[in-house]
Amino acid sequence: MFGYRAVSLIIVGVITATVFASGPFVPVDFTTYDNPCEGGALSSEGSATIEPLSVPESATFTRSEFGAEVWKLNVADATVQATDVQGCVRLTYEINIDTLGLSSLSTATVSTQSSEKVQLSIPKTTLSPDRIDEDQYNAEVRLIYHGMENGNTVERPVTSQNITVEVTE
Amino acid sequence: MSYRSQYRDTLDGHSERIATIVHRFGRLVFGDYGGVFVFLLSCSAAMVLWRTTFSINDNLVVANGLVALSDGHLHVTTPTYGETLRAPGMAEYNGKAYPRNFAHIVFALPFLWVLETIAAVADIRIALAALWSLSVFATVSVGGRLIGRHEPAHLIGGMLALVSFVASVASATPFPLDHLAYPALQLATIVAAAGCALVLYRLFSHIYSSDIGIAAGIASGVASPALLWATIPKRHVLTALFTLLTLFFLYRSREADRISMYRRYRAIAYVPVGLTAWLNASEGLVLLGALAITDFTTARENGVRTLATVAMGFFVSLLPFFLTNYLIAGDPFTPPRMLDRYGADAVNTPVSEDLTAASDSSGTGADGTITSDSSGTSTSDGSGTSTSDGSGTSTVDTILEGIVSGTAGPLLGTVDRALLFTEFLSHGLEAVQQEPGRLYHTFVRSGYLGFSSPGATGLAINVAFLEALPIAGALIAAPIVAVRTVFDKLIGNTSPSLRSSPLFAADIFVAIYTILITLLYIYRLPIHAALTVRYVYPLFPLAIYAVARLSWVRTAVTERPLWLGLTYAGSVLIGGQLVLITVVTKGYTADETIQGIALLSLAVTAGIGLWSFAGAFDRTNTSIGAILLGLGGGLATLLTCVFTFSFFGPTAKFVLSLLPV
Repeated sequence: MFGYRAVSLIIVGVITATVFASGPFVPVDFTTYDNPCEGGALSSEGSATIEPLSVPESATFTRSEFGAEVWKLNVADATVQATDVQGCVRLTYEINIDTLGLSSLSTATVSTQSSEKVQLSIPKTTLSPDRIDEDQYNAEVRLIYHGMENGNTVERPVTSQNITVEVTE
Repeated sequence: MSYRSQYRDTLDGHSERIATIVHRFGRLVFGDYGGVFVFLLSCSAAMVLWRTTFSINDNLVVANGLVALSDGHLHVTTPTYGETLRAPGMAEYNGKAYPRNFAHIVFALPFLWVLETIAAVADIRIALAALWSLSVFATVSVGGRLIGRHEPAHLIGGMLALVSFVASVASATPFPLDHLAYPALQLATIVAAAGCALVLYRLFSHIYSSDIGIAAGIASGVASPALLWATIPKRHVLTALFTLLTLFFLYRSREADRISMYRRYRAIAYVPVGLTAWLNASEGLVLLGALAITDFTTARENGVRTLATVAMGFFVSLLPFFLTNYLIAGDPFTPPRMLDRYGADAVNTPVSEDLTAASDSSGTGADGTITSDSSGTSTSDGSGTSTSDGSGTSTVDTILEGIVSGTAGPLLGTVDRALLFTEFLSHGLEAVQQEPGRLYHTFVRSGYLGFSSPGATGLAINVAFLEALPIAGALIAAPIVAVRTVFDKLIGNTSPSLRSSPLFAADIFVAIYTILITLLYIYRLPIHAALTVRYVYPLFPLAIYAVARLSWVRTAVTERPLWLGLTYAGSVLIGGQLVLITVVTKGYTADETIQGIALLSLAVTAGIGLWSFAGAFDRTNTSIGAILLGLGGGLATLLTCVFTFSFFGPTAKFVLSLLPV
């Protein structure tokens, strides 16, 4: 009986004490979150040298399985090398298929804390079954750099290339 | 020394008294440790999937409504959540914005008070992590008590709680929400979902045995879509809870020996009806219809005193509904859903016709609910006579005046609403006759359905009933049993015993409720943003009730509990990892994963159906049955996890920060 009580008391006690310690009356903060870039994913108040390492040269549309039907756009990830990083810069990786009116992009923030190689992927993109009626589509893949130079915001493409998107059943 | 012992005596006396009260309360609510276990397990499991992000955009309306109520008024003045008050589901009267689902809002209010009190002295992120850890501790400890291994389980549970709590604190980030109304609504639905499991446990441990009760409770709380809907604060879980409560008390009334108990339980069975109406008027009518038909056909007597008690229970339960409606629209018979949509350009645009897209990328579409569909024609005129528009006199006075003097008004109002309701039902019948495909897509197979509604995600993220609850496949044999039982009774000429059987009354109630709620919603189904056909959500726990009523299922559960438990745990833990590996290596999207699991579920459903069919003809194999039921339950749990982590996950913020998402 003593065992039960002791175990319960210790565990409930430790947990309750920590909960109260987390409160405004005790000067301890458990919920710290150090984000080097203010403004999160939208910050671009820095500079860096970005070298593309790999950018996909083709992409595919495949039909979703198990009766989910919709067309999935599959684009390989892009990798870049970031050097001389100061502050935070933002990279966007996008694909545009003009004939379908389709555009899909993702962003990544590069800071002094991020690793030298940065990987970017296109978010999951789908098209309803009736939208695809050709065998292939022309698309443009771009990597864009957003940063500051001499107090001005700069936005320039790191790389941009035309690719074909093959439709495979 | 004497002071000390005196002090100790007082302390001991106090703690003993508190222990007695807690014990008595616990016995009243949970019955025994089995009930505590089922309840805690459901809560602990649901909290794992708890996200602070909005899932369906009318969540905003109800959350803003709770903020308003906690500030002391019914109308919403500022959009605490979201950008605008013009969210789908917001109603307008005299230029003010009113939320809906007041039963949910009021039910969540105490939870908000508790959370706000905690937030005043602690960091809410840490406090919720502590709540989860303690809940896990209690679950494991009580579970150990049930299998006669209390001591090791208590230690293991304690360690688990401590480790998980330390991990939570180490990984804690600031809580993403400023106002706690939204998590309070979610906590309320978590408790309601666990309450559904508890009611099923209480019912079945009372009728059959604790084993059957625990199995049914776990199936309802953890191995059904309840796990998903517990943290999506919509009305459906509450509708299910109220329905189950009615079922429970209906059963108890039929079983009571003493006439006074019979009367009391019979009256209590009507209380959830008014509360459901407070939540959603048409669902209240469904419950009323099912209960009234069952109650009056199976009642042992309908004396004046009994009827008066029943009427009293029913009337009292309707008071909150009437009062809220009166305070909003000056008419007790016009619920917020029948008012105009807030910010609608045209008058008479019903509240919930709007199906605009959710603003966040993860969101599914808006809520569309049936109540308002023909409200354009019959909203304010039919019943507006019951009370004067007296804004000067006090509320209670005018209500009393309305009740006493305006009996014609309410009567007209009721008849009007009842006619509207029968219209819905006949719509439903038509829809079923003309397009049986609706039934197929709602109950059997979903797949990709190109919804054209603007709120649709365009993805196959909705599953049908059997895909979400494969164990319901066992019900294919239910008609055989029903026909055989009725036939046997007729041959034996023992119809009075059938009529007075409590189980017969409960079965009839479930059958009628199923038909009515299906008819009510079928002409809008299948619909986008339903995930697991949420409109007929109460049918999930009711299906578990029906499955547990099949004798061969009960035999499989009681004879092979280990097989059942191991298959369930295995399919969740091992199957879950297999699903994860497959999804990562094959790059399946959320909708593909959902449909893939749905197909697996259908395969298991077919297996369970065949097994059940054989069982109906006394060719039952308990091992196969236990394995199939375990698999079916495991798939249902996995499906809710896929919804949470794969579909909502990428943009979600989880309450438990230790989740590696």
